[in-house]
Amino acid sequence: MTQVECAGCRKSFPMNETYAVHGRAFCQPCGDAELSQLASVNVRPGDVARQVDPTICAGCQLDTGRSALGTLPSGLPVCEPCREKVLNRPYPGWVKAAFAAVLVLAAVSFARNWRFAAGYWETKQSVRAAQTGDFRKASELMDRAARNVPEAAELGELASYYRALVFLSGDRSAEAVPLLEAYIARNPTSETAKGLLIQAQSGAAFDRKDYDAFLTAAHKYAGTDPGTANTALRLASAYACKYASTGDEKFKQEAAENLARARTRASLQKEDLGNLPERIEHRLATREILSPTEYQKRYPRGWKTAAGEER
Amino acid sequence: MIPGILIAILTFPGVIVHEAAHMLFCRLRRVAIFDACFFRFGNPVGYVVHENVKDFNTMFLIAVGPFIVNSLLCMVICLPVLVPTQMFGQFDPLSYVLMWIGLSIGMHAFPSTQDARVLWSAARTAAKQGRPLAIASFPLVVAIYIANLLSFFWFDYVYGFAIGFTLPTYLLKRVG
Repeated sequence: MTQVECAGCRKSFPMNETYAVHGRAFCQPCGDAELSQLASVNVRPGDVARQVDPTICAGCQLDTGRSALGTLPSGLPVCEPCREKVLNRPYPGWVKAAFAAVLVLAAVSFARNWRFAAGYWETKQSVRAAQTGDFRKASELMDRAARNVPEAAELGELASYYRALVFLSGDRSAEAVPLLEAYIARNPTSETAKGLLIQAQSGAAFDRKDYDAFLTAAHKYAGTDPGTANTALRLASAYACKYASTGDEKFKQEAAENLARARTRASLQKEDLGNLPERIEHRLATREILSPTEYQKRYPRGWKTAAGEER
Repeated sequence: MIPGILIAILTFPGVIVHEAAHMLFCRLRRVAIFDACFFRFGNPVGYVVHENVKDFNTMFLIAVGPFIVNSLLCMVICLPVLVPTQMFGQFDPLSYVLMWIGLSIGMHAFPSTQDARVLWSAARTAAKQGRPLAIASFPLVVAIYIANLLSFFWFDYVYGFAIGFTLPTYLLKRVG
């Protein structure tokens, strides 16, 4: 233990019981007296400080006699066991256990909820595929998402919807009808689905050669999307079928008028109508109704080109 | 008004992690720890008593430690329940538990008023002395100081929810 002489009373004190005022050591009563005299002077931080005995450990109070202990970065003397204790203070066991338990819970939750993450990812990819027009891929991905998250009924509905689009684009309209009807039953406000349903009903009627129903569907479609080239083209196609199947000239007249209307509207809107106008003309000229596939097979370069070559 | 002590009790996992983070950075920077309390029914609800630190970098890391650790841990804990709850509206008991733990930890990310004051004062002094970290971190120190003031208006809770759910949800929607 280090002894220090008080600058006031000149008595000897253990160093830890003294404090420095402007660099001079005082016992507590003398120091207080000194400070009261300095009260009028501005005392700055550091002017008054408790003295620390370098031979006594600040942690366990171990007295080493005269040999000075090592110090912490802040200058406090500590023995080696105390240095180890304060620099590497361990976390309590319950803190470690709680932390481990939370991490285990998070890991369990992560494993349990992985299917949701997979489902979400597949949903996003599916929507992206649908946006690029790849409905087959969109349908497959949405199907997987629906299997991963059966709680989300809308995923199953969307999977059916995309499957219906695949059927529609593959001339399998009849198979698309029940899927779209089911989708509309659950989403009655979807105008797009309603339009697609009419399209599917129309295609299904054509496939089963029910041209009355085909014409009815074309009129229904005209009600939902009037004034477009596509509407007029559908009416022309349906009337052409009616003419081909009955020979009634008034249907031929209606078909021709609607075809002309479709072409005018398409040229105004810079729309490509594909080969349907030519198929309608072929139907009107030959009274033969060919499916798109049959037509393509028989006239790969178009009916008019083939007819011109024959001439 | 809801007393702060009640909030601290309800969100005690955050207090524990906050103090553990202070302690972690003390240990990493070889600063002596004399006492630590991870949670108690009193004011403050937790504390770490360490030796005086003169180096700004060390002081900065000890003060900002909970901000880093609590924020990261909040995200890690909330992540597994993010998609089922936020994207599909599916909640189970484990999700509720993790949400509570995650949000509690996120809420206590901000340094305490005491930490913010010490950091603010030290950063100003060190920045005036041209210390690079003090200058570089000054905007963060200002943000932390302001955030600490705003915690009176539940900004710490808003921060916890934002870091645990809003931000990851936003990122997930953008990335996916």
